[in-house]
Amino acid sequence: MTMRRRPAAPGAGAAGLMTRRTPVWAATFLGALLAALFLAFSPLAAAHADEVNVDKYDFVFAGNVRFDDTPLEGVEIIVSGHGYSEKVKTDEKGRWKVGVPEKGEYDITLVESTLPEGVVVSESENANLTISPEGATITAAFGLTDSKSVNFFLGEGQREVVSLTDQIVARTISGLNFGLMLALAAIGMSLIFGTIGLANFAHAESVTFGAVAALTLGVHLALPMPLAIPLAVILSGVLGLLLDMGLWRPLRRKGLSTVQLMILSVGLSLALRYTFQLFIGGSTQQLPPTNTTKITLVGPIALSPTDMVSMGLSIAVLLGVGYWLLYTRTGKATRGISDNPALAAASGINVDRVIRLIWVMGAALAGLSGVLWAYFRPGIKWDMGWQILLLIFAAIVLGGLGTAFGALVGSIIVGLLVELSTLWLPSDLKYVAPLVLLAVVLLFRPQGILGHKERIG
Amino acid sequence: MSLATQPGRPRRTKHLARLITAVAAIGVGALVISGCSAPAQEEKPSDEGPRKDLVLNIGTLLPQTGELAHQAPGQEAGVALAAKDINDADLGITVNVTYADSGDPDNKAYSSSTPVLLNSGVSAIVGTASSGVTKLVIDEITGAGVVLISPSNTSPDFTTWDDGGLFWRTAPSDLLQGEVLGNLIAADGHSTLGFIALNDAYGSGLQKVTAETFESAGGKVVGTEYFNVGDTNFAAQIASVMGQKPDAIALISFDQSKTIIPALKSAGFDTSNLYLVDANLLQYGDLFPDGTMTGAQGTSPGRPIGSDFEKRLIDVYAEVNNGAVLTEFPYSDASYDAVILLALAALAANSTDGAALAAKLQEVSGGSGGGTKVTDFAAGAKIILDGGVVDYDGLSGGIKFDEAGDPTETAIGISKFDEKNIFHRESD
Repeated sequence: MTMRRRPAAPGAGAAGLMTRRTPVWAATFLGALLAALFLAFSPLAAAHADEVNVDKYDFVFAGNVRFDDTPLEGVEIIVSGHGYSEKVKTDEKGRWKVGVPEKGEYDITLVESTLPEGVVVSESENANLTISPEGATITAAFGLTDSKSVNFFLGEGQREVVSLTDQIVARTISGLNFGLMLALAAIGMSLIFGTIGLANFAHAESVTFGAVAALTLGVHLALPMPLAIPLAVILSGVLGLLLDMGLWRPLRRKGLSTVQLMILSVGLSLALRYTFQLFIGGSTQQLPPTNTTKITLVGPIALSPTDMVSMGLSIAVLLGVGYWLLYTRTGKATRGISDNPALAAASGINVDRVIRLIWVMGAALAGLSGVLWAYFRPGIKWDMGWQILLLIFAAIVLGGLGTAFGALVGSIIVGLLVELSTLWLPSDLKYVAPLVLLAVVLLFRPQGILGHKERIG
Repeated sequence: MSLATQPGRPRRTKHLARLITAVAAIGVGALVISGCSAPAQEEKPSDEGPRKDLVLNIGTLLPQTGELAHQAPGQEAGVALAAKDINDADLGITVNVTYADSGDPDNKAYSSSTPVLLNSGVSAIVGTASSGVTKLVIDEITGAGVVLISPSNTSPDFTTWDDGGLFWRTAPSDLLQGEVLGNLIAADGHSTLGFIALNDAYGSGLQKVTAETFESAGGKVVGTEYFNVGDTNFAAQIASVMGQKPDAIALISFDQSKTIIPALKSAGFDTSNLYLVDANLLQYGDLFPDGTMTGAQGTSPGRPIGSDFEKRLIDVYAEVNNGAVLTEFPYSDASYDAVILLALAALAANSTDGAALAAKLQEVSGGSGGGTKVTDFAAGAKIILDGGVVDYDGLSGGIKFDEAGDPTETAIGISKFDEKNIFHRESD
């Protein structure tokens, strides 16, 4: 609605009549009188004046009168129809309520002469509203229920929204945070693919396992979180070790094809997922609360301490993994196996030992990613890892199958796209943008962004 | 079961075949294990009593697993308690319950549970918990001549569904809840509203009615963001809605609220302007830090359930589930009423045939026949056995089914959260 502002009338200040010589008792009396008057018009008393016939009749109209988001008190509303007419005045919160005898259509009129100085109802964008000399009328009818709200929001109502730049900055940070988490999960999976050619569907459950372990240790066993989280990560690594010792290595020894292993990993993923559900149930649980109040750093950049620690930890761990791959003996051996397992074995690298290390490390990184994911969402759920498996796959393929740094680059691109694309796309299509990009990249660069050309068929 | 949809090649080595079997076995094993938490109640039909006793076999198809797994315990407890009350009354009818898992559209447990239930010869099935799942099973169940009665399906679509008169529900259509919610938000003086809603029949249906009511009251809907079943990350939805700076946000979700609410809070939203709906009006309690939800409100169908009923639910749930503790009671009253209505209808029809039950459901609910008002099974059963007609007024409301099988007398209550994240009913 639009409004015109009338020039404010000169203030009608009531003249003070008390003289300097007024005795003390008179002042006290006057004070008491004022207090009584104040009480009489206090919200408590006014709360009744704004409700008319509410208890008498079953059907109730209720509403608010506001001007530029400020409640207007004492505005008269007339409800009329079906041979019934009743007046009501808004309370100090701008509210009113009127009971009416029967269900049907009523005219609800805001009496313009009772509006405060400077507020006028005029031309309206509200199609329901008609203007008459008396005021503004809305015709309203009850639906299935016995009450109906009718609001008069006056004023220009210039709505504030967050600017596009601010939204882009905020989402870039959020996407980066999400991407770093994906990267922790994706690196292990990519290295496993690189070394033994297995697309491990059960890797998603390593992510969930980390979060579930943190929940069990930190909440159910009530360990302090700084202890629970490293323990959860170590346990995730142990899970990776046990799976490799008990399952993957014996199967490799028996010479199963990667397709067979992949199908097994799908079954393992199912089995693990429902085992988690058996233990933690189907609903969402939370880790002990942390400080999630956003602190504005520079301009539109605001991060909560939890976000800062989470992103810092991700970056530090990823840098560590990068260093390990590039400069250490086992790291170099890993990359060697990833490039050419046969040649690596022939040159004296203990392939089995390196593969076991990768299983352990991959599972531990995924576990850490699960813990951070539990803080980012926030919440822990039995299928939380499974729900991002597709994005992890997309990140790995986008960055280049089997390469650790490709997985990092792919993850960050996917994370950013998921968050940023919804500025223009409906939110429920947020996974569309990264998957479209994946298709486009593969059309022009089948090996992925950082992949080696010869790896592809 | 989801394995059926996994990639696999038809003929390969013997090895592979054996492996697939093994994988399937693991998967089935997991499902069986998770299914073990289902209550199992064995009641032998008794042949004692003044006249030939009816034995009514019913099934439940409720989400023991999946997205809505938090809803099944309360509803199964309601069913179990009703069966216990009916059997304890010993008035010419015995109810046997088979508890099955409906799962969710993602894990598709219903696709194996439904045939099992139908083959076991049930006359009626209580379920499912979500309108989205019901849409996937309604034709199969009603096609088999079995009554499907849902304690919590609120999608307006079922009013006009071609179900041969076999689909009933003790929960009101969302047209009603949406109107109450829209009016509530408007009455609180909010001029702009944002939605974060589940992208399914329930979410989009409820969003539409709420938005229409809110706008007709003079407000403006400034942002509506949907998420999909199975989404785990809601940052984009929250950022989009918050970007519009709405006065109030209505959250239409299932269990996802446990993730979305703290995320909204940390995004700087004043949660006293948050509005919840029946599917996420939960006692969050310790799940969030104190004060997270102070002042948030929510709507839910049904009357406030008494502490006595709560206690009996907890006891019966522990009894059939080896001491498991029941903490949430969504729609347990509506589930209880559904079973009582089925039993009364069976008595009135003197038959346990699905179609015969369905023919009497409207009458015993008070929607036709002008029967005598009763509020418990025993009183109703006595009247029916004496040749009378009853009008059962349940725990969830007067019920009074219309021709389409929708209840017409159900209250929608408004609840408000305190600083401990516990909600209290404010109105009837």
